[in-house]
Amino acid sequence: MANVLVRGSTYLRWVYLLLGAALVLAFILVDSGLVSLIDDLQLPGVLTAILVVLVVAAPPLVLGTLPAVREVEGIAVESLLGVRFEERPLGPSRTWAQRRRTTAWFCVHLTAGGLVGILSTAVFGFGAVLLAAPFRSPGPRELVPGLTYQVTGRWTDFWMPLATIVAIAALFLLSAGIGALLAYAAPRLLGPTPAERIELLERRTATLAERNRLARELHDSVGHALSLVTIQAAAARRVLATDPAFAETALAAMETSARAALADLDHVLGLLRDDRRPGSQTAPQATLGNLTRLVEATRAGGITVGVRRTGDLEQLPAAVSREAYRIIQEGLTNAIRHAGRPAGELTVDLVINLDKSGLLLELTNPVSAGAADHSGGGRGLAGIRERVAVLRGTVEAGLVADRWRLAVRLPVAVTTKA
Amino acid sequence: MEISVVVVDDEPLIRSGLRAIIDAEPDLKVVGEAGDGAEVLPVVRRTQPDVVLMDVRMPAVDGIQATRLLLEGLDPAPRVLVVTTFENDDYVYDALRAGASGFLLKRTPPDDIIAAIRTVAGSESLLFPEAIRALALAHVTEQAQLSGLDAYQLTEREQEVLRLMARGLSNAEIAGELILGVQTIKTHVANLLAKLGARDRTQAVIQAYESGFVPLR
Repeated sequence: MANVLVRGSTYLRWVYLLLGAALVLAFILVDSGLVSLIDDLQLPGVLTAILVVLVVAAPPLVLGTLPAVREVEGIAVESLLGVRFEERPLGPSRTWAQRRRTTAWFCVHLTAGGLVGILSTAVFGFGAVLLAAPFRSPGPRELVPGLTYQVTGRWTDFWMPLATIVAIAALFLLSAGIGALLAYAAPRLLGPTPAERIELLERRTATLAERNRLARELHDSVGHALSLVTIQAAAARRVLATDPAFAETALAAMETSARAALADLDHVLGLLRDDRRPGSQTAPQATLGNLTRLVEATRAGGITVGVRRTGDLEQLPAAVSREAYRIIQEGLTNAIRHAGRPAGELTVDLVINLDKSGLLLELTNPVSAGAADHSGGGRGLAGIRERVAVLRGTVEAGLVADRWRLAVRLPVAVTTKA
Repeated sequence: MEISVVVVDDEPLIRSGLRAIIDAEPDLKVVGEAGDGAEVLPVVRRTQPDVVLMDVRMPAVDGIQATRLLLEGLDPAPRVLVVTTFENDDYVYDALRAGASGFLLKRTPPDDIIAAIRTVAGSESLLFPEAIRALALAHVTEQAQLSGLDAYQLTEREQEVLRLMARGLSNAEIAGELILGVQTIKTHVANLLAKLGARDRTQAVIQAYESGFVPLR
C-alpha cells in the first residue's frame, strides 16, 4: 500500500484525473447558464428534465466524436497514465467505430475525473483548515456553513491533522486505483481493435519491405554507377597523356552512368516522397479492382496486353489484392524494361486465376535473344520475391522456350461457392 | 618482377577502368579478364596470374563461389583480392573465409589499389588489418565457442608471430619486434600457416579472431 504513495505514476495519474475534473468544471459552467435559461422557460416538468439532460449530455458526447480528441487523449494517456498503445502515436479517429469508442473513453475520463476532482477539493480544502485546528483558540468553529468542529485546546485536538493526513493518503490510494483501472481500459477503448491491429501490422510490414527495397535499389543503381564513375575517372586521369582515346571513352562512360544514376535517384527519391506508398496513413492503395486502369495505362504505351481473369477476385482479402496489384505492376514494368524490343512489338499475357488452391498470377512475354541475359533477376524481381515472401507464396521466373514467364502463387483462404 | 593480374567483374566499364589503372604501372600487368565467376577458372588456368581482382556480386556465379572454385581447383592458386562497392557488405567476410587474401572498395584511390595488389602478391603483411578486425567483430557472435588454438599446437614463438600478424605487421617488422632474422620469421609464418591449415595471413588471422586466440576487443 505504502509504496503506491511513493510511486511517481500515482501522482501522474492523479493529474490525468484532474484534467478530467477541469473539463467537468468547464462543462458545469456552461451547463449552469443554460439550465437557468431552461428554467426560465417555465416548461412542464418532464420537458424541462429532458432538455436539461440533453444540454448536459450533448457537449461531452459531441466533443468525444471529434477526431482530434483521440489524438489528444492518446498523448495524455501515454504520458500521464503510462500506457503504451500498439498504434504509436495514437492518431485521430478515422472511423465511426473509433469515434464511438473515443466518446465512451471521454465520458469515462470525465466521470472518474469529476469524482476524484470533488474528493480532492474536499480533502485539500477541509484539510488545510483542520491542519491548523490545534493551533487555534478553543471553542466551536465552523468548517462550512452548518458543519462545525470543536477546538478543545488539549492534545486530543491533533486527531484533526491526523485525520487529514489519512484522508490525503486515502485520496491518492483511491486515485491510484481508479488510474490503474483506466490504464487497464485505455488500450481496449482508445487503442486499436484486433482488426485495426492487423491493419497496422500489415502497414508496418509493407513499410519495412518497401524500405529494404529502396535500400537495395539505391545500392544496386547509384552505388554501382558511382563506383563505375570513380574507377573510370581514376583510370582516365592516369592515361590522359598516354592514351587520350581511352580517356575520351572513359569520359563518355562516366557521363552515361552518372546520368542513369541520377535518373535512378530521381525514381527512388520519388518513391520516398510519394505518400501513396505503404506506410502512409491516409490514401488507399490500389487493389486488383484498379487493374483495368493499370492495363489501360500500359496499353497506352503501345504494348499489347492480353488479360484472362477467372475466379471471384472480389473475395480476395484486401492485403492480398493490394500485393497482387503491385506484383502485376512490377511484372509489367520488368517486361517492358527487359524485353529488348520496342513497345509497339511487345505483347504481354496476363493470367489471374483464383480458386481453392489460391491465387495465381502469371505474366508471359516473348524476349529477344540478346535480352535474355538480363532476365536473371533484376531489382523488380527481387521486390516481387520480397512481397511474395511476406504472404508465404511462391515465385517462378525464367525462360520457357523463347518467352519470359513470371508465375506467382499466393495462398488464399477463400470459400469458393460450389 | 612483374605482377600479373586477372580482373573479374560483370561490368565491362569497371574492368576497363581497373585495367587502365593497373597497366599504367610499369611492374603490374592485366593478363586476363572475366565477366562472371563462371569464367574465372579457365581464364586463370590459361594466364597463371599472381593476383585475381574479384567482384563480389555477379549474376551467375558470385565472387565467393568463384574464390572457392579457384582455391580448391588450382595449385598453386593465385591470391584473390575481393572488390566491393560497400564496406558493410556481408559477402566480404564470407569471401575472406572462403580464402580471399583481402578486400578493396571500388572507391579506393588508384594508388591504394595498386599498393593493395602489391601487398597481396608479396603476402609479406596483412592487408587492412583494422578492417579485417572490424569485419570479424561484426561477424563473430557473442555466443561463439572460443575454443582457442590449443589444438593446433603452435609453439610460443609461433603464437607471438601470429599475434603480431593480426596487428598487421610485415615479416620484416615482426623480425624487428622479436629481434630475429627475417628468414626465421618467414619459417615461423610458413609453419604456423601449415599447422592452422591456412592459405595465407588473412585466413590465419581470421582463425585467430574466431577462436578467441586474439581478442577482438
